[in-house]
Amino acid sequence: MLDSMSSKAIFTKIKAMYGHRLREEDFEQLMHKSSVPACAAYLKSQTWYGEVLRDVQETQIHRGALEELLGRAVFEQYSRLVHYAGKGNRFYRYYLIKQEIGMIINAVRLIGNDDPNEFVSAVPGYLLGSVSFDVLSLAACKSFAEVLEVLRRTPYYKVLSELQSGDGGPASLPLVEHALYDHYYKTVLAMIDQQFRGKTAEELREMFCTKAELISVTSLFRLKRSFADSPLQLHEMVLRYKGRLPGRLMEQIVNAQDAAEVLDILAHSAYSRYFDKDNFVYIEYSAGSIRYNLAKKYLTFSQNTTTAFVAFMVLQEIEIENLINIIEGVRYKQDISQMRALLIRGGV
Amino acid sequence: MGSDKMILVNLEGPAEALDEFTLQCSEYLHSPGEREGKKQDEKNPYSGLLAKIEKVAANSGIALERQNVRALTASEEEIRRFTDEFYDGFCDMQSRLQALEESVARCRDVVTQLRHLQGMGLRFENIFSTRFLKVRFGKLPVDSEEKLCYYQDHVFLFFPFLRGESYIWGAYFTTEEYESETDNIFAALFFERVWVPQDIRGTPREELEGAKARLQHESGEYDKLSESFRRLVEENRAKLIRLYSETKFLARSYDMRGMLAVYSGRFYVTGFVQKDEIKKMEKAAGLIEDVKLQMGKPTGSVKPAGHWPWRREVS
Repeated sequence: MLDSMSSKAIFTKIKAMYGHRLREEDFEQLMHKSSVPACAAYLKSQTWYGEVLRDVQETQIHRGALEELLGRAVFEQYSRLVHYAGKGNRFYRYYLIKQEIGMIINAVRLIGNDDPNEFVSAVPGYLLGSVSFDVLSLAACKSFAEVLEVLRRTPYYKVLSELQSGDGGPASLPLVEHALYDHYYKTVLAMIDQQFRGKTAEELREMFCTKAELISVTSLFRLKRSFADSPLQLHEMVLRYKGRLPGRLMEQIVNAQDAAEVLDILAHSAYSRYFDKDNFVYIEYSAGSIRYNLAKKYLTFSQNTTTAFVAFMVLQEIEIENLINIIEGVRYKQDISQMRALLIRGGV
Repeated sequence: MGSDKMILVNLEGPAEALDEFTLQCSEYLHSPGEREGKKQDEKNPYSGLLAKIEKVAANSGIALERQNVRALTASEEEIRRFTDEFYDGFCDMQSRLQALEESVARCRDVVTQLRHLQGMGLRFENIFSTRFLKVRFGKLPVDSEEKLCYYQDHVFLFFPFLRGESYIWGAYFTTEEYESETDNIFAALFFERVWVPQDIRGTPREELEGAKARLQHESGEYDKLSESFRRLVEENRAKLIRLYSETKFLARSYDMRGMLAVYSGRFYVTGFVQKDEIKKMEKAAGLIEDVKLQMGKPTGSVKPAGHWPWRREVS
């Protein structure tokens, strides 16, 4: 556990960092920009991202490079906070585990891709020194067996080797995702049980279990919408961590005929205000809004440093998601109203 | 144009105040056809000229404002000629300015690149004269540096010359055969290329002074041309605004023909005004002596356009 001095210091630091977040007017300004360089110039001169963008020549910057730098800015915040916490708190490694899982999923997705540059380009360079395996070796993998070989000395090997089919390939990408997320939540919840008690454990469990539940709901909704007769065993796609939905409701979602029925079930659940059928935008928006509001609540009211840390990182991730959506919208000359609809701000 | 937002107005006043009335009030008036969203059968002959003046003004940074027109100072032909000449003149200057601006940016990049390549002892002429080698100068984000090791078996060499906090300035070399593949790799690593002119021959240290002098020269040329451009705009600003007002007046007068009648020394106008502009219209009409405005249905003294027995007169 943290001592009270460092705990207070981190808490103050988090609040100060959160104070620099982008506001509504910043997003509006960005949506009205005519090009990616104009967005970069605004972020550099008007926002806290200016620090990481200081040497960037706005007129030349590539969209991918800009997005990587924004990710770096958040990672630097994470590193600074972890530095304050000292080495005593292993729990904060949860963030790196999630990044590692993201990279593995991307590598499996790109197996057989002729262009390894796509994977290399997508790997955040700032993470290379922090991950537990040789990420770049994944770029060269031509089969699932080769991916497993790269991960041999990591906990992911055991998780994924069970999915290897007779011909050396994985059962399917959704199953790989499910197995890795399941491993992630098991690991994180075990860390919570080991390191925290009482209200802190309760708050952390709620945040992580809600996220797991939303991943399940989003995956099921997408599968029902895209593949009415999915060959996958949908029961296997559910992350069984108790969030706000009772087990019987999750069963109803699994057995729903189509995406419309899933929406109908959610409209009568604890998440009803986020799944109003008349105002439904898209599933990721609703899931994002739930995460945003929960994180904002804990960052505002919780007295616990770890809860505030996790909530802050969720809000920073959502800020980056919003920025990337806007940058892509500006790049492809998307209508401002469409960009606005994609913006996660906690409203329903 | 939704009809629910429009109000029918009838106006009358002394014929001698018609020009003033046209000037002050015509922008608020819409014909019944416009109200119903129909396109006018006849195209206003001044609309093309007006659009051109507006384009010229927008490009030259002149804010157009409406001035009172007491008399026309130029014929339509003269307005057209002036606008064309002014437009051609500043377009030519603008394109020269743009070319100079690009040249200044290029020179600035070269100076920056040469400053960052001071660690390279090679002469550029030796690099550029190689027959089979391809070279690219530029900067690599530090986050991409570690990714380079993934490509250690590929046929290229990256030479870092200077390391900053965010970028590593340097150059990569490859052969003609692997040029495209290597360019793709560095594009994936977000390498930002800087173009070094082929006429640079010595080492970066030797060439830096020359590049600085070129930058200074090009910047000076740019400043001179900017000043000429500013003078051209200033010299023509007042005339363009005056001719714009006159053309606007001609266009409005033309538009009002269908709503206007002149009879026994009085003019009569019936048209529609947008609900949110009615107050402005009232205020504008109130500035002209003896102009009466009625809202709602047409009165007996002013009949709707198209049914008037008397001959229409164009102002």
